[in-house]
Amino acid sequence: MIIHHLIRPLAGLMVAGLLAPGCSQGPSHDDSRWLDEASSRHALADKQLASGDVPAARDTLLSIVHGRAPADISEDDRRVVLQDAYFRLAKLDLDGGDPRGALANADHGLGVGRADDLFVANLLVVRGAAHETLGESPAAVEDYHQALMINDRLLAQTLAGKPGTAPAPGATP
Amino acid sequence: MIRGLAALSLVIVGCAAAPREGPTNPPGPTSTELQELEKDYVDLRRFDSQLQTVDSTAAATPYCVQVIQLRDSICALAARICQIASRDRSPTIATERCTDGKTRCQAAIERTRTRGCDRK
Repeated sequence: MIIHHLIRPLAGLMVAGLLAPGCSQGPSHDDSRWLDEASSRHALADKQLASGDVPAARDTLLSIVHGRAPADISEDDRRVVLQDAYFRLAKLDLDGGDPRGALANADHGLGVGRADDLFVANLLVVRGAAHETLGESPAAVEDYHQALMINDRLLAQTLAGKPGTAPAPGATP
Repeated sequence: MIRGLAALSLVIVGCAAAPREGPTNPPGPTSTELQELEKDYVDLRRFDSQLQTVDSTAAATPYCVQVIQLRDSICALAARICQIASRDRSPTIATERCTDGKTRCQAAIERTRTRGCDRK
């Protein structure tokens, strides 16, 4: 499906970005543990998907979004961890022929917060694809266009040399 | 261009080195001229190789990787929007978004090229 070409996969990216020196706001011990845990669950979900066990991968990803984030974690760190997991859940739904489930998970993810980054852009793309599958073209176009605008702004920021405006390049699997 | 010149030099050297038959052939280049041609050819090959290295190094930098990925995302999304718009019988919001997307895609292509991230 076209979504494979539109989405820049983020699996594992967020943890790499958050844990990279200088990229986080100096997470506390609890924050680091939570991020480590999210990272290992993403890795587990990858393995489960590789072996074809989609339900297990879904459960693993759900455990990330249902897990309790440390109280003092930054809103932005929390947002990207949750949005990455919701994105993967929505993608699983879409690939599994459940566009309504994909729509719900994308909505959950976008409900966590908005920013001009690829986490939000990917959720918009997967939601647009879900709308498209459901025959809701105007909504699909709006989501695709919003994602396009985010990518355009990220490009402008990258060309202007603003650091930290997009996830580290080359981190995509 | 460089490759073309290099190939041309090779042809010149190759022709010059071809065996000559009979006294009616015009006088060929002297061995000194042949040596100079060969040296020019080697220089061109080296220069061409250096250019290719510079190009591929620029395109492979993290900066360029990111720029190219963003450009590709913009253009893929624009294409998708336009595909949806093409199914509409009369102009809709999709038509407007398609036009906007195509403009942004073209701008992204040009900006990417201007920054030396794309040799296309």
